[in-house]
Amino acid sequence: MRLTVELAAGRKSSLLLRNPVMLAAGTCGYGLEYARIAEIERLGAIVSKGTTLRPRRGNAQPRTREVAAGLLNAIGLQNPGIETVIRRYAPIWSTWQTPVIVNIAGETVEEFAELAQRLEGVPGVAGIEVNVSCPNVRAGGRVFGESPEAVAAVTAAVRQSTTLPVIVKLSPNTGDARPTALAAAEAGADAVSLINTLTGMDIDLEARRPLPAHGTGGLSGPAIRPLALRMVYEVACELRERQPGVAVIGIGGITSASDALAFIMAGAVAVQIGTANFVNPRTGVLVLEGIEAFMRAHGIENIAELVGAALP
Amino acid sequence: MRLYRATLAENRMLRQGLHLLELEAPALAQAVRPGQYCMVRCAEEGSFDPLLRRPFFVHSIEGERCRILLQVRGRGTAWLARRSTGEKLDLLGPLGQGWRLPPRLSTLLLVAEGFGVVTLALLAQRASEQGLAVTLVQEVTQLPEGYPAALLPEEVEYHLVTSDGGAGQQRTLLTVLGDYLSWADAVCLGVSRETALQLRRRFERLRRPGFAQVAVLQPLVCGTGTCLACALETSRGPRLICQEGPIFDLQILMQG
Ligand SMILES: Cc1cc2nc3c(=O)[nH]c(=O)nc-3n(C[C@H](O)[C@H](O)[C@H](O)COP(=O)(O)O)c2cc1C
Repeated sequence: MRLTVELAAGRKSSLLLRNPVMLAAGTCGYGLEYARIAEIERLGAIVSKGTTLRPRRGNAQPRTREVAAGLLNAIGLQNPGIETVIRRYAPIWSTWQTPVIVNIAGETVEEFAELAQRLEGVPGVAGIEVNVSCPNVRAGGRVFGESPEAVAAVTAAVRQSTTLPVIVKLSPNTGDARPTALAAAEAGADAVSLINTLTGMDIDLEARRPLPAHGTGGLSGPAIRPLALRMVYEVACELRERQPGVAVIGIGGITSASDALAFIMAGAVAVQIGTANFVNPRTGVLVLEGIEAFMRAHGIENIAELVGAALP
Repeated sequence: MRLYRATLAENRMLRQGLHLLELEAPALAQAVRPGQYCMVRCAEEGSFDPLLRRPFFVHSIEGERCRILLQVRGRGTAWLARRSTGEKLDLLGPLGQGWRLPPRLSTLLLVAEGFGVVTLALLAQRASEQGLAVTLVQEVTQLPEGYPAALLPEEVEYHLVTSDGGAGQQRTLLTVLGDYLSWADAVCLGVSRETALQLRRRFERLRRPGFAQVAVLQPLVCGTGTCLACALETSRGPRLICQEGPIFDLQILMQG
């Protein structure tokens, strides 16, 4: 049975995943927290916590709010900064079989480029995922990911700064991810991943204030799966038509192999598991085993036969 | 840290909304230290609502069984309270750092506010097994909220303070704690952050290095130091409640 997925095929440092199951940014830390219990060595890849140039302390408490079948979070990109990540974690990653993709976040195009430059040639770093869901300080705090022009600018800058595979992680908050997906693809992305969290809110009735304390929070978990699936399907259709070399990675509410297979049939070559890791750190392994069982039961030899199987 | 499927050996309702769950969990019983906790799934297998696990302290251990004292507070705990004998529960644990007692100790004071007593129960059991003189002082607003004293080891002295003022003058931890503090070699607090800070301001002894620790409770998401939802500002920089806590030195606690 063949489960391997090649990202950035043909590029100098293409990325071969043993299987299509990845763990999503911000939900598996730098991999060490879950390394043993989650059997990370069996997974296709893991994506690190969103990392910035300088260390960030993150937002005020409370940072999360549980909602029906979902979670609102406003962690605020708490992280130790790129230098510490390179020094502390990359040497450990370089001893792992499982590739680690570093998720980067900047407030200006130049910051994204600098982050990519710092990661160039670092042993243990297998790829870059560009988180364009952060506010662009130059553009008065507008989120990069909500404008195709800004996505194109960031993607091009990262592309020029690295030989590593570049994945651009798209925001769902525009309603339609096709314009930003196309912008990323045309600017040199090897793949797009979607979706990041949806901006939401709850209200603390006693305090009469929004929750999380930040004011809004990103909604994730099973509640967002149908929406994520629709966006992945649309983007996969669009890219197949206009940028067939660019892969799609599906994210959003995956808790089981059935969920993952739905994304794959909607056109994703790989999937990322996020919030479900908090519920069961072994979700990745269970999803993988479930995909294998499905393929055996349906006599499928190569996972590629399923990718996009539900597209028109 | 491990994942367990533990069989529910008994679910005893102590009073409305208060249950004592007894779980067949040999490895957890072996591994857990007082002040550590586990995260329990509170939904059917394959169901994701409620989504997140709920944290519970191990209340007491008997042989290979772990007990959890469960107060019904919402959908998750209500689901757990309805489980019956023989059902399997999904646990992740033990998690966090427990109470760190100084060496050469002979008297230990435990201070609880309401249900905060769950952070201290296993410590009371272990400390009295080791021959320490243990006193538990608990403040409750109304009498029926008191801790079912029958759950404590016999050797533990249990003093209840009711702050509703009904029985004579109003007594609170702030008014009664002085006498106990001069007796104790160490103090463990299962109280709210506000109360802990009030007590620290009021009693000089509580400001001594290494003398007092406090359990900091809040809803947790992952329990493993992964999601960074529970960062706590302390006088020594940020700490993760789920992983570096939930027990902290009282000295480093800061205003919320
Ligand atoms: C607590 C938390 C932290 C996250 N941090 C990041 C991050 O740093 N960078 C990023 O690109 N996405 C981050 N995400 C988004 C996830 O990677 C994922 O895109 C999203 O949660 C949807 O997938 P899910 O429903 O499987 O969780 C975070 C999500 C959560 C819940």
